[in-house]
Amino acid sequence: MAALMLSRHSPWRVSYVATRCLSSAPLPAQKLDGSTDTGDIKRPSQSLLVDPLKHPDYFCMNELLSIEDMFKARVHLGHKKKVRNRFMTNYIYGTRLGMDVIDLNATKPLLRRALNFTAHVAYRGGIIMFMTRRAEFIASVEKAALDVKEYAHCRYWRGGTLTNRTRFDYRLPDLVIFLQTQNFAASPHRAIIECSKFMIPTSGVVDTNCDPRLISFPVPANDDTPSSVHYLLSLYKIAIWRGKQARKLALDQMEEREKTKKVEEVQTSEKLEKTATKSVGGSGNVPDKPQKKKPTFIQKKGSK
Amino acid sequence: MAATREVALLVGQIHKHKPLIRCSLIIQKYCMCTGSQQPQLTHREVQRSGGIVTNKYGEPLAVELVLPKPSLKNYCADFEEELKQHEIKYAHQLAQYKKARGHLQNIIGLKQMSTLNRNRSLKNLFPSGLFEPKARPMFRKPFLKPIRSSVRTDGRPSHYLFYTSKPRYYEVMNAIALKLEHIQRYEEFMVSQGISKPSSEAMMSWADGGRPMTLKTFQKKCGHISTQDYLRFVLLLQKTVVQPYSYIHRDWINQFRRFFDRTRPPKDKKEPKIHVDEKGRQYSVAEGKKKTSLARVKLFVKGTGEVTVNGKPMVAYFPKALDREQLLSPLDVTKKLTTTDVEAEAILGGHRSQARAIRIALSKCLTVFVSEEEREMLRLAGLFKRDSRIRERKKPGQKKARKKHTWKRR
Repeated sequence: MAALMLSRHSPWRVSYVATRCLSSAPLPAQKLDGSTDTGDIKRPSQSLLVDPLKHPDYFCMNELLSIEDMFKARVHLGHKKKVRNRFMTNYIYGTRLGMDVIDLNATKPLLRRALNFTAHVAYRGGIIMFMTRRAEFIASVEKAALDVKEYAHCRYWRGGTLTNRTRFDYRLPDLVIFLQTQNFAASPHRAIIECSKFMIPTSGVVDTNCDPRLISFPVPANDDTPSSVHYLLSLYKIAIWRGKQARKLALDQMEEREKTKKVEEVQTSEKLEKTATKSVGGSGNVPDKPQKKKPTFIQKKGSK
Repeated sequence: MAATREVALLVGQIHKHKPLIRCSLIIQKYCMCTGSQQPQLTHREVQRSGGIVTNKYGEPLAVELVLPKPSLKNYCADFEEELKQHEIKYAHQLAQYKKARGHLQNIIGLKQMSTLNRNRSLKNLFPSGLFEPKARPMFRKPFLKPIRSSVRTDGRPSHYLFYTSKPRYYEVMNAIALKLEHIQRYEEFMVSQGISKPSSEAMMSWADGGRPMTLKTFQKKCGHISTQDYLRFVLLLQKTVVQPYSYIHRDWINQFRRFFDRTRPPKDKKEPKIHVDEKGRQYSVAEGKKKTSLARVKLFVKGTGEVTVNGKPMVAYFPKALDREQLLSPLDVTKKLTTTDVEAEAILGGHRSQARAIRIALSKCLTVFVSEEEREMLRLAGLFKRDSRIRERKKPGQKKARKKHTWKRR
């Protein structure tokens, strides 16, 4: 069932956006370090090495997800049946007392995928922006953005914030996370259109009355209940935090490696010098030659 | 059991070769799922992931996470180039601008010119008959703007609410909202403890006469914001202040409020001076207003109760008793009806408003010659207060300001 869901939910735009975002850094398994020569390093087994971009859950977000937790956070509760968006039918388990119930088995892989992508963006130093238009969640969402040192825009959205900017000395966000994809008028948030114009990938919580096709990485879940929103927000936070930690670690290691490389270079150059002097041996004419030349040059100058 | 042993073996193997493996090495035991649950990864996904050791559900058991080389180039390469291009363009435009400015100054023969002068001289040099001012030749600074310092070199804005375009304002709003949430949670906690209200002492401390800070001071704090945004701030602040447990963040909230110091005496208003005329009589002069009429009063302290208005005796000028009463009320309050002389001048307006204007001027004159208590009496009687009501204009479609034409069903 889950496999079916996944295969069904792969509109062309999702895959296209995903590849476009990460296409600038295709890292084949053979050149993990960016260096061309990897022959001297022995690995335990080649089969264990994974292309991080192809890996389904690179930052191990799946270990945080459990259907029980989601159920407790009331992620499964949807809207009334009559406001259902027909593209959400795939993610709906059934209807009880006129209310739609979201299929958490369908939510879980999609949530994992969204979190994985978020962590990857954070790992590469991308700008992530949180969005919501619900007054009750603004404070917590903005605080979450501050906590993970990312950005938030939960206030009035001026048309053209992304598309019609006057200054060009700052970057636009590389990923936009919607905690609610709809605005007050129960229509899609205007930022979604602007994001799609710039091919900025979006990830968002889609309730049963939302259109999942508009979002690159949708997560079918309840976006009205505080417990559900805070649960999902904390997961996004962890994903960003993990990505950033990994980045920090990797950058530190790169620095160390560069240092050791320099030391090695110095050592090898010293060795080379030593061997050179040894090989030259007693014939010390080479360093004397420039000394002889210099005074002649000065004399010429002086004579003029 | 077999699966776990396999994992353990793998873990050991990887640990042995740890120094050889590049970047960070994180080993995770993946997806511990029982047979009854669904597999969390599809078989195809596992296949794509490159032959990881899997269990019978097709899930990877141990994964070595070899992270790719992180570089800002992934996201910043294009941006850095753009920024460089922008800098080059801006420098070019600025150089052109300066060069043109120099030429213009040479032509005119002035070393320094204001923008206004520059535009004027341009008008003379390149006369244009075009109607639209924007279409005429003009001299202006480069279109491009220099790079802002609030953004770091990698293009990441320094403020977390940068994209809202009013980051400092929304930062304050967010901070207040968080405090409000905390106060409300605290109240819930106290109610659950069985305490419905805080002690009256704590509650009363809010009756301190504090008000939200003014728009101007708020703009100093948050940059330029509209009055609409300021009103939102005021509403939010008042909402927090009104909370019964708001005193827990009193000091923090008070930084957004202003207080009137009641112990400080009020600023001395301009009091009329005491003059002495040729005959050695002491007098003071003051002015008063009511509607459109203006009045100027000369009050002699020692007199016989003579009151003249515009050179005429009061009885002749104000035939109505009500006007006279109005006029003399300050003297009546201070009981100086028969011991003072008054010379008043009044212009514009009707007799009633003139009498009122003289009344105000008269009580102002009196302040110099009466005691503090009597002055307070005058104040309490409302004799210093200028009546701010003025005539309301006539409306079209109506007979007068408010009066309507007679309505008739036809």
